[in-house]
Amino acid sequence: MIRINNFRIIARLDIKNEYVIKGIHLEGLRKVGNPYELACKYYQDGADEIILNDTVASLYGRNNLFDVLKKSCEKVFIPIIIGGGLRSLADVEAALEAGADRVFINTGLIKNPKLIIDITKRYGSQCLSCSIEAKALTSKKWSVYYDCGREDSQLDAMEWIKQVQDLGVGEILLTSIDNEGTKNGFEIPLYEAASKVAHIPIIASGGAGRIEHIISMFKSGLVRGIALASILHYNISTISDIKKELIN
Amino acid sequence: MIAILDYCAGNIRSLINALEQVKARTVLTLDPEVINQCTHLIIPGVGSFGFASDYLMKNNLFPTIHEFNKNKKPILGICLGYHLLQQIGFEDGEHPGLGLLPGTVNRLSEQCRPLPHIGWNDLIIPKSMVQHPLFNNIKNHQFYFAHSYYVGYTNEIPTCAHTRYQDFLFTSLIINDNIIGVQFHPEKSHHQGLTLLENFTKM
Repeated sequence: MIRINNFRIIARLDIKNEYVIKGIHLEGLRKVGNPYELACKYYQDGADEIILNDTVASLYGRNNLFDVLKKSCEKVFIPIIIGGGLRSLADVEAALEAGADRVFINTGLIKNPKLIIDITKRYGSQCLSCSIEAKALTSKKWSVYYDCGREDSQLDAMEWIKQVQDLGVGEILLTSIDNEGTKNGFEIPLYEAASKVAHIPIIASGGAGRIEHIISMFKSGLVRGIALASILHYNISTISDIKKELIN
Repeated sequence: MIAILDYCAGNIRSLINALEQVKARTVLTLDPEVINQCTHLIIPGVGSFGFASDYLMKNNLFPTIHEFNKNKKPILGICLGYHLLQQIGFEDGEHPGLGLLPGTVNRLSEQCRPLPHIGWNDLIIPKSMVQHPLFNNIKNHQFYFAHSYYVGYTNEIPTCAHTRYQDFLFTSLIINDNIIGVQFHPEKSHHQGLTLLENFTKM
């Protein structure tokens, strides 16, 4: 099994009710599989981490992902990162208790940035990723969205990255809304801009449709990991094949 | 029976699952009597040194762990648990550790960018240690790390493995008689992590 030092290939499972779903631009969702089965499959195939994202929790203010998490972490011995609808230190505590190794939060941090201090004081920076859904305003400016890309926070993405990293977040999961689900490749200018302001790891998400997209992102050195969904769910490529290409 | 120290330190569920996977019997406890009766002790950990050190002191666990060590029973500290085995921690102020190992816990240098150090990385194991039973049946020495702090030792300790992050070399594993400390997370390191845990349970 291939592991690349300090660069992670992450399988991202966006979950709605009992299903892994996939949309385009975070919309128009289609069912693609069972979360537990896919988590086990990607683990066996060499994923470095698994992301479980509850896509409806932040809309309805609840979290139904803990059952999937509990079951998955009995068989998946790599880090599982959970997010979607977490809003308080108590939510994070419950997520870790259920078997998560790290959490990512988007809406909850936008509404209450001080939550970052509470979580990292208790669990350390490495335990908290800030999920950022960015939509381009111009070729050099992005706005931060929340509630799965539905609401515009009016925050500037680069200013928001600076703010959350100063407050102690340990990582940025940066999703390009414009490229998400398109399989047209990563939004490189977004990651170029982010890597200039971030001194914490950035994970790129949104747009990978072919192995070449992943190779060029890897070679760019802009990010510390890539979260993959469509390319894996639709069997365009496998994690082990992707890693073989990356080390060649 | 393996005692896992229950001090609200994050991902304990993963550790229990990993140990069950290698057929070990575990008990999650803070009770000194229960800990005393166990053959092995694991101090897990995701969290901050100050909070954890205070918590152990408040629950009067320092003497229990020292007693366990006096009986030469195997102790494994994972990540924060490894940090707690040291003399002093400088995370969120200065806090005392258990003092079973002679190191101090410091923040990784700002030259290590990005920080935290998250992901898989190699263990550089000295030849003298490769034959240690802890490494039985482990061929791939890459493990999963997630940390901003590391343990520094003033004097060279021969029974250490190291890991390089950017240009910085730190101790990522130490074996000191019955005490083992690891900076990485074996419970999150696929087959090689499970095998390492299994080897520990057989010590």
